[in-house]
Amino acid sequence: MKKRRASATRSQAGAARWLLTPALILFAAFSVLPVLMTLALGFTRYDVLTPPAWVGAANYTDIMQDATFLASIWHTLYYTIGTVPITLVLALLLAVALNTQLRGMLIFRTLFYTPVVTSVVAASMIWMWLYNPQFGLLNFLLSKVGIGAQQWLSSPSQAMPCLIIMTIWKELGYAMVIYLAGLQAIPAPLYEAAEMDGAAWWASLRNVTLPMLRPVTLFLLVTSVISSFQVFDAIYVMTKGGPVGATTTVVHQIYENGFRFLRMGRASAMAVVLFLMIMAVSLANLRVFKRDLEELY
Amino acid sequence: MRHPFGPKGLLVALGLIALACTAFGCAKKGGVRSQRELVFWSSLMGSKEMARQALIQDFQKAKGVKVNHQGFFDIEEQNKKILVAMASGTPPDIASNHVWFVARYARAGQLLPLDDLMAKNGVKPEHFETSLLNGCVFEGKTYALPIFAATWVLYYNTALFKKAGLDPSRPPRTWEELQEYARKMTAWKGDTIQQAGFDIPYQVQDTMSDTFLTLFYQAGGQFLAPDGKKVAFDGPEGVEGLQFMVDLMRKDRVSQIGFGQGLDQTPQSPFNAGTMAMSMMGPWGIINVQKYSPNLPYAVAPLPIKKQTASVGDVFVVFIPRAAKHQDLAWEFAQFFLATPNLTKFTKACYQIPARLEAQKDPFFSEDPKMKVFIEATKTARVIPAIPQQSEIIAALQEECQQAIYGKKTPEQALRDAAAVANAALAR
Repeated sequence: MKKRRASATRSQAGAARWLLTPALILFAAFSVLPVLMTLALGFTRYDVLTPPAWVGAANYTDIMQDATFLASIWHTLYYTIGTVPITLVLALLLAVALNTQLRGMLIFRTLFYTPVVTSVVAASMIWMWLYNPQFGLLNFLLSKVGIGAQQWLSSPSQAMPCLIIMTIWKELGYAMVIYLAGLQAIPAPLYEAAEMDGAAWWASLRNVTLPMLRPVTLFLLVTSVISSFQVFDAIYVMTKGGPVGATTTVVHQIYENGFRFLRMGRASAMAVVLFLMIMAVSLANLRVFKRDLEELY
Repeated sequence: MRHPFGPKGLLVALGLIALACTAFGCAKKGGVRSQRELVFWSSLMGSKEMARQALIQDFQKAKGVKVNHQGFFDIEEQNKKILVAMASGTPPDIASNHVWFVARYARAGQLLPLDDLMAKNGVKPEHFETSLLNGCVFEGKTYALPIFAATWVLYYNTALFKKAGLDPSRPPRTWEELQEYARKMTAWKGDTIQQAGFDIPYQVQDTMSDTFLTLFYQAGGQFLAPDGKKVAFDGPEGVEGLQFMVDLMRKDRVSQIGFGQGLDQTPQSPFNAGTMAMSMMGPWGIINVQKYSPNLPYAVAPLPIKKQTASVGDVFVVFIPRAAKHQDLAWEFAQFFLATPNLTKFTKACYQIPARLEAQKDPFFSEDPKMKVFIEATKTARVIPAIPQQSEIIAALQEECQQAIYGKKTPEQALRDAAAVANAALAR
């Protein structure tokens, strides 16, 4: 019996290898290969129309001294720090609030999740109208309470917070749904035990919910940071990196250098720097949550 | 339960199906193109779409050649697609876009020089508006031919003129008059402007660089230094031009940052809505007003001058990639497009100024009071010289001008920084 099972497993493994091959070929061709090419192009000067020319580390020294690129790194960090913590905290609170069996809950959950499935470009255009200085809803509401019209996307200091608010609105639902799933995996006896010890709502949240949700928080933290670091669509549609360069991010700089100025070598070097940044932050996150990773296994 | 063919057999079957699909796909791609078919890519969309469709139909009927047209709404999109097509050796036979990209394609050797074809077929440089043809010449060779231009003139609201006690038949002729008139026609309510006297751009887009360059040229400036290796817009004329813009925005306050944002091509756009007294625009302004605010009382006039008359012109061209499969057909199409009757018909339909002098003689252009102003402006229109690094230079210029408009930098500092980027790009 054991022998037949062993050979069945071996032939299953062989079949698995064959079935995976097409997918792996596609993955290698469209994901791995371009990444390797980007790495190589970072050491060249390349404008698409003429063959790449080797320039060594010149692109890297150039971009690390470029005020615009360094500013874009700072703006990306500003954007990430602005969106991720608030999104996670709000999502957690929402999930706790909606984690009941009351009848309206499904409607609420759907309402909060809907922004996630809208197209970023479409959402950006709607929010541009909300933020419009003359005809936008926000300034209209402010005028009703006596506050003067704000510049919003035309103001260097307000533009990034505007983008942050839009992103929180858009991404909240996703984190909320993940947290909901996590909450429902917490065994009820734990809460009952806490209640018996006289724990109030806040105490049980701190001592039962949060610790049990650590793996979920880790997951959301890592994925949110990775996607925040790559923000582009909203910037491109709403502010084009302005005003006065106040909202340009790393990916936006990659786009400008690569596709507008045709400086592909430089853009590739920027992409590699972004990759290293994301890698560093992800590793840091994993280090902090090391215990939870071990528990998962 | 075992599958009748076994897992291995199933895999082989799947693999064969996948191979067959790929083979089909490849076969279709490399299909034979008919002998008389022309591939034409253009950004002649929107207001120019109907005119372009009519032109293609006329050409197809006249020459018996099928035209396979691909249109792009976004100019940069077409640029990217053409770049990739050129790099892979499968460009269209002929393409039409703004002149901005010609130098870059030409420098990479991707365009067919047209001088020989022109000489053989009697197409002379004198047939075209000199200012417009200049932008098509790179290193002594003609790489594109201009079809039409969108030159800037001054649009102004005659009702607002009268309300401010100004004579609508006497538009401002100098910078000083422009400033004075704009101040008279501006109205604020607290911190928000209600009526702008003159349109000052505040966003990083083409109106920013075009406005600056217009003023710069009027102040007597030249885009490039005489040696052609550096830009010259950071000189005294540039500072004068940018300072004028900055003063109008920040000192005279004839407009406000954020005014009219996102309202282009709508009835609420300030000029269309009658809340902006004067604005510099190209011929598309006529179409916009017709479409969105047909009852707006307005007129057009030559741009006010400082030291000399100058306007900016955005030129549309046709060019033939070197690797085009049907170069002869492409040239036939170019000649057809530029033939006076066809060009006149096209430009009349989309309110653009034809680049061919003969076509400009048509009564539509030479007798209509508004179009006459555009024709005059075209004669003094300045086109940026053919520079491969144009995108980067203009982007830097737009960014730095915005810094000055926002008061973050002085005009001198802003132009100096823009010139630094531009000169570095030119040196590459």
